Amino acid sequence: MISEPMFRDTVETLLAGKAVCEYAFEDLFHYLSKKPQHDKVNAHLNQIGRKVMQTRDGSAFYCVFTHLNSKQEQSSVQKQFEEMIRSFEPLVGWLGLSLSVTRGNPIKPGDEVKLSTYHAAIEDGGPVREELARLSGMGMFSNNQSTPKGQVDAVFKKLADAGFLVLRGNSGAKYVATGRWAFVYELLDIIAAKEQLDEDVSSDAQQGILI
Amino acid sequence: MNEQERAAVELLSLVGKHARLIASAYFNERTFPDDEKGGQIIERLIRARLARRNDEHGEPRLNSALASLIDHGLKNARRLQSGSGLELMLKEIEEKIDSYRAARAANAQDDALGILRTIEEDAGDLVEALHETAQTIWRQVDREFSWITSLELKIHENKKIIDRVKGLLGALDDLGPLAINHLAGKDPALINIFHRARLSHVMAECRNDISDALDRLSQMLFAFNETRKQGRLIQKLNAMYQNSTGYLPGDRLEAGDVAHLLFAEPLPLFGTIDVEDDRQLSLATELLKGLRKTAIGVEIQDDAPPVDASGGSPAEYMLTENPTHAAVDALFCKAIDEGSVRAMDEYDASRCGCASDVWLHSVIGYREGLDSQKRQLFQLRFDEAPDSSFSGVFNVADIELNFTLP
Repeated sequence: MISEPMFRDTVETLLAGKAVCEYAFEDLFHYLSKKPQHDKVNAHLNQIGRKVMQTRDGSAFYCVFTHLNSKQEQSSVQKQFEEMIRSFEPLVGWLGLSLSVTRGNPIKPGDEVKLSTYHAAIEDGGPVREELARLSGMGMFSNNQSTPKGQVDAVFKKLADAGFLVLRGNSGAKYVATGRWAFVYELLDIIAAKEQLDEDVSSDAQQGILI
Repeated sequence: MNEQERAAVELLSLVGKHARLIASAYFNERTFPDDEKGGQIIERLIRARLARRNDEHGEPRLNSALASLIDHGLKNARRLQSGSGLELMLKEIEEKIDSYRAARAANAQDDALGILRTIEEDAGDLVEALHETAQTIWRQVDREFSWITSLELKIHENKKIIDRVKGLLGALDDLGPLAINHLAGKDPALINIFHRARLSHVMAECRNDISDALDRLSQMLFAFNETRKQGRLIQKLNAMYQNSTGYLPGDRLEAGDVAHLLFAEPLPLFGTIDVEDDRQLSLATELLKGLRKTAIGVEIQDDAPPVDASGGSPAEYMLTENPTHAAVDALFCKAIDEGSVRAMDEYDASRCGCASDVWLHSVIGYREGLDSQKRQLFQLRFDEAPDSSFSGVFNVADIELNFTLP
């Protein structure tokens, strides 16, 4: 009955406020990655004051207002901004905890994230457990689990529910990080610039260019 | 194990057992130390043809086959080392060329020919080593240090390889085609050898290859450093959150700073589902209830009529619990009856409860959802008004929906 299901699915997914990345919506991501299709979706969304955006790293497409015309739109964006700031602390906390689990590699879109790795990390040490307990009492990760293992499982589930992780395979223990993390890193950069946090950590990053 | 294999094992065991003595002879112009010369070991080596005497009373010397084997093994080992291996190989060629010229100057033609043969072998080895070096580097580059898990170690290893590649590039610059031409001079035999081995060509190729590898390594190092920077930012911000209770980066941020990251408000979803029978219909209805509950937080009321049979094909029903969808459907029916309708004229009457932009979007979306044959029957004409922000963007204010039969 529908002549172009990909177009419809893509538009509906974007309009539902989801980030279209390769790991959560592989087909839609590839559909949107082609210019004619991207333009078609964009033209469609433009007619209702919306447009397709892509994260800086190119890992996700999403839908934004072209202009904040109505008060409703302004208040929606303001509400979302406040929510973004509120949920940022637990997310940064989780990324910090993950750094010790992943040996310094921040979680990136497309990374495989295994429950077992985190289970092993809580077996190993106190600091990870303490941080996990702290996160389990915080905003989006809030849960009533009393054991570290239960807390890890709960946090993974919350991350999956919020679209940051998608399950891979049938084991229920292997996840892949989605393009949602790209938003966290972009916000992180903006905050770092505002707080002037990046001055002393950016010099190293330039080294690659100078070689 | 057959007899030949057993003999080979015995031979190699003998070499292994007397490795020090053999190595000492190899590095002492193939002759054995004086205190071993009359000993039983030497006699055993001679019996095994690992050493030989030119005549009955001659001085025992390492067999040339065994010396060649050691020679080859050492060259390979050297080749596996960094750029210095290549430099050594060229240095060796250079030295042999000097000996070759000296032999020719002394009219020792046989010796000159012998040296020339080894130069040819060395040139072949150098070409092989160049290929191998470029391939080894690219193998490491292609694996993107995936064999290392720690980011810090990845950076360390990357820098190490970059240093090695830079050393190699320097060495290749020194050994470049000009240096090869200089080595060969005007000697036709040497020119011929280097030409046959395609030494200049292979060197240039190898240089390009590892120069590309250096670019990739630099890009990778940049990416690793960026990742490290992100990690450090995470740690810093995390520390700020933990050390200053109530810290909110939002105090210094405004929505406008991150406007490009803020999603447009989700719109209610609607669509159509093809169902085969009553069982599928009830399953689809349940699914839809669940979907709406999770997607937009609205649960379909149980007393609301969940489905409306479209009345056409007995095998096809349309879920029309979304009032916007039903109203848009009615608008298209009206267009069929009247030939032309304006969407905003019907908006109030539709009582669909959605915002006007959603209504217009639904009209466009409905048409997009039709199959191409049906879509051709409906044409949309947009009434556009300039956006209030004077940005050059035009917003759709109304849509004229026209129905024409082909």
